Amino acid sequence: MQVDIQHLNKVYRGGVHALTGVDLTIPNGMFGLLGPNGAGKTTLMRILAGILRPSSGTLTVGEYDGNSERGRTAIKRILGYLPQDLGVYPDLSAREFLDYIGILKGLDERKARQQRVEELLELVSLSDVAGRKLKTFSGGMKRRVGIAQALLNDPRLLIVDEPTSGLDPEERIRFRNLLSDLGGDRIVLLSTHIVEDIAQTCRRLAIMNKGHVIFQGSTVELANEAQGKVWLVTTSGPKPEGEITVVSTLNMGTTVQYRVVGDLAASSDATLVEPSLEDSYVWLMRERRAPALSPAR
Amino acid sequence: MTFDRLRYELRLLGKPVFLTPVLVVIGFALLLAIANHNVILVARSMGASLEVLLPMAAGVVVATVATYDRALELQLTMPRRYHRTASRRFLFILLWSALVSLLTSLMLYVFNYRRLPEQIATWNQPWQFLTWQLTWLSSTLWLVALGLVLALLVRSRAASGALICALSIAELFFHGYFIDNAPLHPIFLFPLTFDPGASYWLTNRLELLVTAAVLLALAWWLLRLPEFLLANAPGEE
Amino acid sequence: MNLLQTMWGVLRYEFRMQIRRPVLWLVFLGFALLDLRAIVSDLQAPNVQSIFMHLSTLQLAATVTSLTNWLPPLGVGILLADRLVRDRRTRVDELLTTLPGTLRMRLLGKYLGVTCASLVPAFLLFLVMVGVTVWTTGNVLLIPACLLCYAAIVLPGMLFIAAFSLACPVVIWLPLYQFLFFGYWFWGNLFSPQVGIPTLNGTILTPIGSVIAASFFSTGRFGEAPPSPVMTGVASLVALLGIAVLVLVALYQFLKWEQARQ
Repeated sequence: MQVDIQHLNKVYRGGVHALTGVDLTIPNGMFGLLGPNGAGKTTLMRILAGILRPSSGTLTVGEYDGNSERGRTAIKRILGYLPQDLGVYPDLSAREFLDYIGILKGLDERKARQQRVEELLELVSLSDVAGRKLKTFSGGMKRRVGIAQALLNDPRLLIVDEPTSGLDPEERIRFRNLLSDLGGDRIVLLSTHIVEDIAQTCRRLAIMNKGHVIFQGSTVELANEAQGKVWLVTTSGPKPEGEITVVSTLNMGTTVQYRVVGDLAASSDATLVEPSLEDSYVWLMRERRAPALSPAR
Repeated sequence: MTFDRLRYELRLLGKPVFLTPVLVVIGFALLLAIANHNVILVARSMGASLEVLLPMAAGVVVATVATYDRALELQLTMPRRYHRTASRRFLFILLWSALVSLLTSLMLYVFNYRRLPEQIATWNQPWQFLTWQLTWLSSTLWLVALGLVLALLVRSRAASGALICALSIAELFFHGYFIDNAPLHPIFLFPLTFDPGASYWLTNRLELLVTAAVLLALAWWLLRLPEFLLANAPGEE
Repeated sequence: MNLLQTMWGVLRYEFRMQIRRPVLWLVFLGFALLDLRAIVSDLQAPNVQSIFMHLSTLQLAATVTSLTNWLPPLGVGILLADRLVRDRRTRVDELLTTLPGTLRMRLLGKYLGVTCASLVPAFLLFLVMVGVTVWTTGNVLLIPACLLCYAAIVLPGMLFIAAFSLACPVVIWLPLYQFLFFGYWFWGNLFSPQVGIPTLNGTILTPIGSVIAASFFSTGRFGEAPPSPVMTGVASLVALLGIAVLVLVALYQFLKWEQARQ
């Protein structure tokens, strides 16, 4: 199965261009969607999830046409969605919340649904606290409930919007591993502005900025974008100059080590290094800024 | 709808939704019991609670609760469509309010504290009792329909509640205008309280039902617009 | 740290947040339509005009003030009710609790800021009514007289209900408060004691200002009213403002207790 998006546009009331001419093909497996805040990632997620309708353009998910009401309903049956701001019902327990969402997803058979709920609680390591009310849950625990509800109907299209924001490193790793395990025979669309999440889990990705897709390809291709543009500068003097972005600064005591991306002015303190995904992302954002548009979401 | 789903939907509405009409009736009845023993006055006042207070309470509750969902974004991704879920919630509130109103009217009837419109005073049973239920039914349906539409249009729980209250107070305060001006009869919510001898009582009740149906159709359409539902009015988060 | 500056800063921003709410203006527009229709036709009715012609400037000002003050306090009370609980809903209160400004100053700033902002459309509506009256009667001296009457008749009641509207939703469900407030407003201000049900209407705790108007200006909503001792008006003013202060103090103590409990 794959997702095909062609010439997708979304204009909100007030003339805000959230998406402009988006062309995207999302194959099976893990697919990353990267971009700064306001790039249009969440808008694209919501259109894929059938919450919003595009202003123009076409969208197909497998054999379903996302432009028709029937198609959207069919997509929702195979969809698992974890929104950026996950709202829960605070007075329900985790088990009850999942049970309720399962009912809404059409899992009408009680025994099968409850069994599925228990399996997922086990998967996200919340079995011990499943009876506690959600208002007592920490942010990380709520995110785990969120991923569990997204998996209730064994979705073929799983959309997770900023799933690891606010999580501690251990939880973040657990999430990534969980998502990677899921990416075998379904589409998992991971939208985030944390490059490391994509680097660790996705082979293919797209980068958005101001409503446009500015890159689409593999992580290797993205990394190569900044080949010859990433430098390590160790100096006790002033900051390096040139058309550069300082990616990191490490104070070593008597010297300072800068990792920079860009066209560096000639310097004996600079060493060319292999670009990471983050370096390439920074380079790409510098080079392919879209024309100024109203901020997207 | 399965029993399991019904259980969850009722839980999500919350106890205050169900307690509000009960507290309104009991509170008002207690106040009357303490303050006054004049049968006519008590009948008039309890009739007013049926026609005014209970419908208003239902309208404010619907305006506040019906379109507020913490997990709205998630609900909008479900194959079970949200406008049906929201409509069911609204229906539960309406049915509960109707049940409380019906029981209250039954108690008033049995204990002879009823105040009948003159138009049906000579009717036979059970038609008199059944038609008398239009006292609260028409006002309730109209106010909850308006509450729902206001909540969806204005996207503010406080404002929609305020407008329901303001409209009710205006009708209470300017009831003379409504009685004296025939064109205003179709939107006069409280004729039994102020004009029990009105010859237009039954027509008024039916007209309110019709306009309530129109408002509900509008609400049904608005519930199918997810962008609308996701937006909050500025400052109303 | 200057606590007054903290309070002033909070006041300014709470004012801005409240005044920017489109629904505040929408609700008062609705009130304006109801009020204008009723009062303009009232002012033009010959029997009303004949009553008003016999009133002094101050009495006429007090009458107009009383006439326009039956709906705006309802709007102020209901639209102010969600301002404190909103901090919890938006999860800003956790951040605010960590800030050095005291809870007392923040609460006072919030109370004054949202009340002043909510009063702006109410006051503008009042000015429109004053304008209509000045136009009808040709008496320009009504303007300062009406301003004086607004301060004496309207403001104490507004401050009274603002205090309750800020405090009560902290402990009871907001929609229930709105509904009870509506019921209270009708029962405690517009319900006639002659109906036979006990009511606060006509006592010194009448926030609509009718007791103050009768006492200071010998007027009611429809012109001259039976004379009432000035001390009754003073008592009403003191009672309304005093209770407002007590409610705010109680709110502050409750919030402090809640914080300590966590």
